[in-house]
This record gives sequence, structure tokens and C-alpha cells, in this order.
Amino acid sequence: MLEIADISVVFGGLVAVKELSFTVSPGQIVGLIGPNGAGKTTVFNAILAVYPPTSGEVRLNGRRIDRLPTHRICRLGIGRTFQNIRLFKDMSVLDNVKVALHRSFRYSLFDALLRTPRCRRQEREIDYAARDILEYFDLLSVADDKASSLPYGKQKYLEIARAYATRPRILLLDEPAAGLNASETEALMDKVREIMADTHCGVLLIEHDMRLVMGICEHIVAIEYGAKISEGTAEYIQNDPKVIEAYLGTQDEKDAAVVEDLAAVTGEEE
Amino acid sequence: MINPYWELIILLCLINIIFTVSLNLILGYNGQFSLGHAGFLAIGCYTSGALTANLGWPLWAGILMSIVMSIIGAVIIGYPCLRLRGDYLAIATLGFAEILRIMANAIRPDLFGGPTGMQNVKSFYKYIPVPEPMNGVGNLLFTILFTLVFFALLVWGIWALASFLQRIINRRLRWDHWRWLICGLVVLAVIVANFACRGALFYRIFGRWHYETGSGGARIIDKAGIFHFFQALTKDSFASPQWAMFALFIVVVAIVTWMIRNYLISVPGRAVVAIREDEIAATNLGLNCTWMKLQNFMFGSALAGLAGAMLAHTIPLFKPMDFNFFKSVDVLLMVVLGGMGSITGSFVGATIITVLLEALRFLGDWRLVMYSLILILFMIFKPGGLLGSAELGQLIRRRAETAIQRLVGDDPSAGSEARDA
Ligand SMILES: Nc1ncnc2c1ncn2[C@@H]1O[C@H](COP(=O)(O)OP(=O)(O)O)[C@@H](O)[C@H]1O
Ligand SMILES: [Mg+2]
Repeated sequence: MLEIADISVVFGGLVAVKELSFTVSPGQIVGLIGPNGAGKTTVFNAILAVYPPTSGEVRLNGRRIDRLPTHRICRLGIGRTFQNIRLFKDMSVLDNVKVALHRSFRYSLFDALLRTPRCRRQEREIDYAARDILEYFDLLSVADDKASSLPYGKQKYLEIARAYATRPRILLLDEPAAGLNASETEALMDKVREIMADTHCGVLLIEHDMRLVMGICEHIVAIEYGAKISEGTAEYIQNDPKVIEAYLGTQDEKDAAVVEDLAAVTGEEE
Repeated sequence: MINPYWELIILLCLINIIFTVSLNLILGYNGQFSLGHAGFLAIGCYTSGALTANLGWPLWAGILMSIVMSIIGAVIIGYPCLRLRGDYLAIATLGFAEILRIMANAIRPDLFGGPTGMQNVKSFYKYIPVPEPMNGVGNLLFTILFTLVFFALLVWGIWALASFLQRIINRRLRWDHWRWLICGLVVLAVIVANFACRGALFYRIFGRWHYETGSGGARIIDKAGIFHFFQALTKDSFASPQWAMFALFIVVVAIVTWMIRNYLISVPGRAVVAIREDEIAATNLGLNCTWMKLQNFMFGSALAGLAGAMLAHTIPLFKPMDFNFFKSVDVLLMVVLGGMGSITGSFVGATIITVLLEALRFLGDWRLVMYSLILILFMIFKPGGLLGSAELGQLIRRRAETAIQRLVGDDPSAGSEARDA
């Protein structure tokens, strides 16, 4: 279970996240919504200590993790994807996944340099494991292609595959559906559900597509200017005037669309 | 015998290949700027030189110490800089190399020779135990070695060809074991051919390995086959300390290349490239980037130290000025020219620049203008260097593939569709 307790993140004078608390349990999918610039991505960065929280605590299964270095936090079982896809562009699709598989295999630098049988054996296992993961994400046919040569949609899948390869107990997805069309989004969300069913991990999902968030998330946290303005079930959130207000005041096109979405979702229900 | 001037250039090429590859690991594969790489060359050179010439250490210990000292230097510079993201390493290594150079000038002239440098370092020739003319058992050993290498290359060549054909055929007809079939067919064809000419083929290749050992050492009686061919060869031209020296250097380069290749296709190597591509993503996947970068920097510096140690025992004289900023620029140029992130590219870059440096010696300081010109031309016309980030083998294979496809009338896009299906 991932517990976020009263975290704040301050950049110079700017308070990007203000005393935010919520929890994500295994098998649960939690949505994190808020207008552009609300500080959603910063929450992810705070959880992984890319920007360690200025105050407050992050706990994973009761253990405090917010003072650990990023890579240790990841190894404890938090995987993430990025809002702007961050693949290893010049590496092959297969190698992108292999990079994330480093942890379950252990051999020394000496084994690697001399290519000892121990290294060979583990490399073969890494190869199998990586191909299995690619197959799971339907990417096996492009395994040897450069990551940057993939179409946008597949790049999104590859990024999730890479995070999945670290065997996370909590998966953080930053706007996974951004730039995908309706059917692609549908497929992606089915995949996320499948991952959850298979690994029983928890998911924290940032998403702009309100229909999607409302459809998939049992629990939603809404933030504005870094502070929580509402939290509850999808139904509760979409009827909360504070949430609608937060999106209404915005000049941002995407956020304006959210307002329409919200109205539409509410309308459908009535 | 090759004229000693060319001999030195060939040896320098081989040393520079190791030196270039060591920088390529850091710059090309990990994206970290080391602007003072000559500093590590100097560490290697001076450590092995001073220890063997002035303190009476054996050669192997001197070379080992060179590597160890370079690694220590890498930790001292790398640890504080590589914890940060950015170009701190470039500045720090630049300063580090200059400090080392000044220290070599000023500290313990009895040990390091001061500004005039060291002349009393023993050359490898003094260590190579090759009797001249080499004969008897030595000759036989060389012959066996050459023969083994020949057959290893033959087997490897057939295998590589079969693997290549497998990829081509796979586009049309998917089966994982084409290469075995092809190898089998080749072997079968050779055996059939041997039958067809009533054993003459095998006799030409293998000969009959009868030899007698007498007062003159081992001698092959049968005058046919590869073995005899190599025996004749070693007796006449290869059986000299000069060739032993070349062989030694080539073996070192081969081992270093092999280790780097192993490194790059395993966990630490992939991590290092991933860090070059996107350090934040790499950290968020659980890679300890600081350690991976440091380990890579240590590996690269160790190789530079090795190159330095080899240099110390190859050139007759070295002095602090040999390891100034321009030496670092030299090696940077070799890496950039060959292609960052390409080992075979480093081979090409190191060879071209080393030869060019000699050819342009008459230009004096104008050489530096040539450098800038070369760099600018490359930036305009071939920013990725000669080979980019591909290996020579890959490039040749790709060319051959497209050529064959054109021949067969198969267009590559159709192939990739077939593969996707
Ligand atoms: N590294 C940083 N330095 C300074 N300000 C930042 C940094 N990262 C984010 N911010 C600011 O924090 C706020 C929240 O950003 P972000 O978390 O990216 O919003 P979003 O909810 O759209 O993901 C923005 O005002 C942004 O400008
Ligand atoms: Mg964001």
C-alpha cells in the first residue's frame, strides 16, 4: 500500500504540491485529476523522490521511502511512466525492456566482461523474460526495431511494458491515453485492467480524459494548485461543484474539453 | 622486417585504438564528456615507466599498477562529478589532466624525469623472449597458432554467412534453423567435392601431418596443406621479435575489444547506453545511475591506463608536454571521426588520425588548423562520424541485404510486412 501523507513540494517560491494526502492499495486504481499545471506530475516526482517532498511522508507498505534515492524507491516496487514519453530512443525495443529487467538478475562485472557461463545463462533468461513481456504487450513483432521508429501508440505501450518489467507493486501512469484515439484508449485501459488482474498491483492514474477516469477509477483525487479539492468515488467527484469550478476557470483548451466531458458524463447518467 | 618508422606507427595505431575505444565508452556510449582523457594516458605511462625503470618492478606489475592507478584517478574525479547531471565532468577532467601534467613536470625528477621526460624506460623488445632466428619448437608453436586461427576464422566465416542467409530466407520462409541446414550443406558439399577429386581437396587443405623431431627441431615432412604453408610463412617472415610484438599488440586489442563487446551486450553496458539516452527514465527504472556511470568511467579510464602503459614501453621517450590538452583533443577527434558509440568506428578513427598525424607532421602547429577543418567538415557533412553508431559488420550486412534484395527483386518493406504478420 502506498500512503502519501501531507506532502508538499516547493520550487523556489512556488508551492507545486500542498499538504496532499491519499492512499493507493494493491488491486485498486486511483485517479489523480486536476487542471493543467495543478501539480499532478509533481506528485509522481515526489513519490519517486525525483523532487523529494519538502515536507510530509511517503510510505510504501508502512516503510518510509521519501528520503531514499529514486532507484531504491523503484526497486521497492514503484513503476512509472512519463507524460512526455521517455524511451531510450536509440536502443531496440527489446533492449528497452531488458534495461528494466536488471534487478532480478545478478552477475558481477567480471562475469559480464569475460562472458562466463553464469552471465550467458542469465542473459538468456533476461532475453526470454523480455520477449515474454513484449508478447504480453503485443510488441514482439517489433522487438528488434529502434524504439524511436515505433508509432506513437506502440511507444506508449512500450513505456508501460518497461515499467511493468520492474515488477511494480504500485504503477504510476502519467496521462497514458494522451494523444490516443477513443478505441486505442479503450484498448489501453483494458490492458491496464489486465495488468492489475494479473499482478494485483495498485495503479495511480493521471488522466485528462474525464470519461476514461470516471469509467475506470474506483477512487479519484482531484487537486488544484497542488492542494486537494475533492476526493471520493467517481460519482461523487463528477457532482462536486468544486471540481467543475476548478476546470471552468481555465483558459486551457484541453481543460475546457474536460468541462464538456464532465457535463456529458453527468448527462449520460441522468 | 618492416622499417622501424612504420613499425612505430603501426604500434601507435594499435595503442591509439585502445585509447580511443576507452574514450568512446565514456563519451559515445555513456554520453559523459571527458575532456582530459590524456590525463589517464599519462597516469598509465608514468606509472609503468617509473615503476619498471626506476624502482625495478617487473613489467606485468608495472602494467597492472598503471591500470589500478587510472581507476583510482577515475574514482577521485568521477565520484563527485558523476553524482550530478551535466557537464561537470568535462571541466573536472580537463583540470585534472593539466594538474597531472604540471605535477609530472615538478615532482620527483629522479622518478619521473621532470620536464625533459623519461628515456630510460625499457621497450617491450627487452622483454619479449623470442630467439632470433626463431626455429624449432617456437616455430612449430607459431605454426600451430596460425593454423588454429585460420580454421577458427573459416568456421566463423561459414557461420556468419549462414546466419546472414538465415535472415534473408526468414523473410520469406520462417524457420529458426536455416543456418544449421546451410552449414550442413556446406560441409556436405566439401566432402562430396573431396570425393569427386579423389581426396585431393583435403590433401591440399590439411596435408598429411607427418613430422619428425630431430636436431633441427620439429619439421613437417609432407609438403602440402595449410599447416605447411604457415610453417613456411613463420620461418621466413613472421619469426622475428617484430612480429611477436605485433602479435602481442593485436592480441591485446582483440581481448580488449572482446571484453567491451561482452560488456555492451550485458546488464551494465545496456544500463550505460540507457543513461545516455535518458538518465531520468533510467533512474526511474531502478538503475543506480551514479554507480553505473562511475563504473563505466572506471572501466574506460582503466583501458586508457593500459594504453598508457603500452605506450611507455613502445616509444623511446615521453615527456609531460606529450600529455597536454592537444592529446585529449586528438583522441576526441578519433572518437568523433569514427563515430560515437561505434567500436569499429573507433578503430577506423584511431587509424586514420594516427597516420594523418604523421603525414601532416611537416605542418607543425598548422596541424591544429587541419583538426578544426576536419571537425567542421565532419559536422557539416557527416555529423555522426564515419560509422555513426553502427558497427562495420552491421553496415556491411545491411548493404549486402539490400543488394541481395534488389537482385532477387524483393523490396525490403514487403519483408518487414511478412515478418509482422
Ligand atoms: N522542476 C520544476 N521547477 C520549477 N517548477 C516546476 C518544476 N516542475 C514543475 N513545476 C511547476 O509546478 C507546477 C505543477 O506542474 P505539473 O506537476 O507538471 O502539472 P500537471 O498537473 O500539469 O502535471 C507548474 O506550475 C510547473 O510550472
Ligand atoms: Mg503533468
